[in-house]
Amino acid sequence: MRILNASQMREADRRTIQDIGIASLVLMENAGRQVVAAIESLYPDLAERRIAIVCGKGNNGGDGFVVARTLLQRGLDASVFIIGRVSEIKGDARINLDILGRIGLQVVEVADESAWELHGAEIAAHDLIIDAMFGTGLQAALTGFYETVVADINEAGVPIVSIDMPSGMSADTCDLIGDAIDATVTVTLGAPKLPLVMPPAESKSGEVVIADIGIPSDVIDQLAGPRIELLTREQMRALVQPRAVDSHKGDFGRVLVVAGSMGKSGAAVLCAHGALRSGAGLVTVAAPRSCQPIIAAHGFEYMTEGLDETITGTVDYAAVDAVLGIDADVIVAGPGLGRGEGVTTFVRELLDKCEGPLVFDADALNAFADEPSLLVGREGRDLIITPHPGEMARLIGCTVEDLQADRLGLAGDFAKRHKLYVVLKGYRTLVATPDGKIFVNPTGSPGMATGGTGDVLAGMLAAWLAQLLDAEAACRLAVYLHGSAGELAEADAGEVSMTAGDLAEHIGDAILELTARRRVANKTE
Amino acid sequence: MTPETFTSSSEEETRAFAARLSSSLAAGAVLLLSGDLGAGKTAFVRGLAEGLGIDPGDVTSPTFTLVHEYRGGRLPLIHVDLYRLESADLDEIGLDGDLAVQGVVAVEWSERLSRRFPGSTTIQITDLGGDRRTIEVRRHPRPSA
Repeated sequence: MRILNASQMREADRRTIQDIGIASLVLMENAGRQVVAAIESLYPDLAERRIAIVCGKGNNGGDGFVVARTLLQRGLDASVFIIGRVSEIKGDARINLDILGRIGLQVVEVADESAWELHGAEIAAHDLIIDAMFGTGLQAALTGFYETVVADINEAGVPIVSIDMPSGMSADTCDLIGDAIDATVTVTLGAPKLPLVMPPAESKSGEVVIADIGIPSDVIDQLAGPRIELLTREQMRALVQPRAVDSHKGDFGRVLVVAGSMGKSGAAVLCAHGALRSGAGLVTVAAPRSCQPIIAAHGFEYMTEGLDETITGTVDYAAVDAVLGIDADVIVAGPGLGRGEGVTTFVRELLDKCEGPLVFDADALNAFADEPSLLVGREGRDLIITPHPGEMARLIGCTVEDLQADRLGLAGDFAKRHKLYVVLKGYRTLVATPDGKIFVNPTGSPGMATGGTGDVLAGMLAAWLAQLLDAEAACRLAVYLHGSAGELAEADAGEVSMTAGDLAEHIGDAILELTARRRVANKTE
Repeated sequence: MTPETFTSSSEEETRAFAARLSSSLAAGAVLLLSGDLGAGKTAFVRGLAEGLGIDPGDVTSPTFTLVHEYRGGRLPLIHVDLYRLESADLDEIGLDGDLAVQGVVAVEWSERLSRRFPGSTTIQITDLGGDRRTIEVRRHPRPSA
């Protein structure tokens, strides 16, 4: 599902109305009805709630008028408050306001601060507030009267459903430009907007529901400008195909995990389990000789290979040829490798000599910190890197704060310039592709902020790459399932106690949950 | 306008070549570098620094910062990376000032420049595999010269 910025959303509206010929009044009608459908499914007790619809003077207010009419026709208790002067309402919003008049729905004009003093408490006494004030139309922070209205509505302690975007937010930036409605739910129209998905602004949007108002999908797909997509369950589900009954292990790829060093053998074990639980046909762990027995003792399903090591127990650069001699469809390298000249040379040689696809994580990325220009993919050989913000900032040569301020831009640039896939970890993990696409992952939980979850992800990426043979699809599916597995592990162990091992144990549940609906459908056929 | 071509078989040779080139440069020289990532553009700039008497160890890629200035040598070296810009004009990014006239400007991703620079020198580095590179130097004459 494509995520649009403000100008793309305006262009999508324009093309739908002018080129396709769907009247703007029809889009407004669809929007209002979709909002009602969303609140009906989210609030089963809607009939018992008194609903206040707080409308602005523009089209967002017009959507609110349609909501009011639809609720009234269903016999629900809905009141309309207009923030601003009724006489200034024009266009499609005016048409819908006039309809309200003809069907006998009284609206309350709240034109200024003194009117708000009169009606503010009345609005706050409702059981559900619909915010139809500003939508995506704002460019500057709310001030004066409007700022008071937003602050008081937030204070009311009543669930708030915002139409399109919480009032006070700007569609042009992921930063908060001023105070905004703290929405419980945002029903966004046509397509998700960037600030509803990306921090820090998304903290205001609550649960986001995307309402189909009739904008053709081709119109959205053909828009120029950044290609940013939200990963959706439906798309992910299609990537996990049922296995043929006569499958054998060779069908699902051989993953070679190059990981571990003295004191860090756990990283290799977690990475291998991430790969196994994600369906890799065969997994081999190659690790410095001194940690091979420990790694072998922690899993029966993978094979192990001992590598030449330095006196500090890290892999020696001379081990590259041994690694390349192991049969593998995908090599994942980095978790727990440690640092040092041996590791740096080993990783750089591996990138240079390996002809198959590679996943580089953690210490494999640190090996390029002082020479990031060497970290490049090449035609016909996919390279996926999985930095956390600190590792990404080091590779780019900026601070973590600089990176966090423009994750989309900086990760996207790095992927294009270095011809590789970037999986930038963190809240709302990003996948940036060498051809300029960016995917935003909605799954995950704060419980995943614990050592080793990144090692599991690296193994998952390698396993899906070995099975799907498509780096973009592998990145999308792996980050989605990794987040889902994190959510499930959190549900079981709690966000404080869950560990990376718990996450790996829940990958299977995440896959079952993703594919469940399809199985049920097959049974009823 | 016939290019001068040099073949380098190591990063050290690339640096030495750039150092020789920079010792002959005068204030106001503009070098436009192109070549794939990993071709050795940064190594080349390190060589330029060396030739100007600046510590080459200070040179890092200015991808994020856009412009790095190195002083302390015969001439200041201004290292520019335009990758993050869709299109750029050297004037717009503040390189029309005194510093640019007094120093040597080396621009990576110069293909993003919106106009040509008469009097500039184009450096094209091509990766021949392994550590081998060709370095093509092409000087663009000033119209009046």
